[in-house]
Amino acid sequence: MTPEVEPIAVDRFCLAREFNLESKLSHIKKREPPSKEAFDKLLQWFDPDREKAAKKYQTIQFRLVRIFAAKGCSDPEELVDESFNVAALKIDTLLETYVGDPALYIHGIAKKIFLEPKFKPIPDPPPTPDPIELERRSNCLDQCLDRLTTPEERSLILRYHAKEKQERIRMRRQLAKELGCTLNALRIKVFYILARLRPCIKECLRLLEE
Amino acid sequence: MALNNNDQKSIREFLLGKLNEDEQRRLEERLIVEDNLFEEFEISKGELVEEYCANELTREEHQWFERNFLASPEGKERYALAMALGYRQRDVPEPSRITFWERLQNFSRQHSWSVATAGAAAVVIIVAAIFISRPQGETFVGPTLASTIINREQGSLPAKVKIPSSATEIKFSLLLPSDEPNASYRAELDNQTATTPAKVVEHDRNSVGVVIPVSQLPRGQYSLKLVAITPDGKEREIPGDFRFDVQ
Repeated sequence: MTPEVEPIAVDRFCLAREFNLESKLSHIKKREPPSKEAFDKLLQWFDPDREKAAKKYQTIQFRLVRIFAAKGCSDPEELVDESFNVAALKIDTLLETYVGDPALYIHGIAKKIFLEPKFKPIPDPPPTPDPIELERRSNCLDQCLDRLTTPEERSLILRYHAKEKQERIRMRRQLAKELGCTLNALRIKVFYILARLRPCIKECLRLLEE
Repeated sequence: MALNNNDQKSIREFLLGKLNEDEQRRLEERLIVEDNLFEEFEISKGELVEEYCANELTREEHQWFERNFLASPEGKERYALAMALGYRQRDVPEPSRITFWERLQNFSRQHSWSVATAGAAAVVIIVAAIFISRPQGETFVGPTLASTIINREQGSLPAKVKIPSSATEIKFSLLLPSDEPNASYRAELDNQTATTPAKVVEHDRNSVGVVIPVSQLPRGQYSLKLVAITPDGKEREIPGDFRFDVQ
């Protein structure tokens, strides 16, 4: 297996050794969390300023989770945590020899771990909800819209998602015109409102299931 | 780095499993380090879920998306939201399509005296505007900045800003994490060594517009801090700050 780390300057020998040693990788599968010392060094590797390092850690973690979710990873959070653990186990070597953006190195590890069967996509698409389920979701949506959005935002979200195909495009153009912004600015605005709503709806559905 | 149409296309193809190994790797690496691209990625996922729900994807695309992104916990969460929104649409009223002239006619019928007064005022304003709008420096419209409170969830880095040489000032739009009813705002620019007031030029429920002279923005990292001022004069700091990186 060849590591895919072309665009960055990196100690190839070190990487190849790490990725080619299957036995080493299977040992790592035990996924022992790194010691506090190793974790501190990992943060130090991200940035000497601890606050910036923590921020960078969060950013890398969040983005990798999102990327591997898009690839159908069954448990992207665990995949990414394990990638950090692998890096932490090698941190002394990395500090001495690795040149390049740590984020890309962690990404390289995550790609390798993703090859393991337990992270393989499970073809388990969401079932088409029945009318009762749809009503439940719609109620949660209403609750969250009431709690988290202004009347204008609520109207914007509902109108943005109204209609289909050409009608939807027309509706969005009209919305953008009314708000005096570009279609792309409108997309971004809606994206941030939906980002606020999603956790609320998830929590609401969870409470209903309990 | 600014996005182009190819980036949007690549993201879509990535999400639909149409990129080869090498293209995938390059895009993934960019997604980790480029804020704008990552934002576009997040938006595209939502749009594809919508298209999936509306049966607008081809059969192959539909299947790929279903077996990959929609099979993940995040995909299921987004699907739940999209279905709820679709279901909720049953009672969204169609916006009335009144043309500008119809609106104008309605208005003038209802407020004939006001229209006459407004006409006179308009003449005065036009003359004043011509006087005021003598050639001045160019205002460069910078990116829309989200607070680190929002970005903590989104995992974004400071927005990168390249200022054109012709610009004398730059305008940022700061997205408010929450609505502050009837508040006005003041802003401060932090250049990592000192803090100076920044001019707030407009605001609505969602965002605050701030203009900063280019002379105050040599290369480096900056953050803007916002303070909401309530009608009774009380000040409340908006949590988080709005970071950008002048290149």
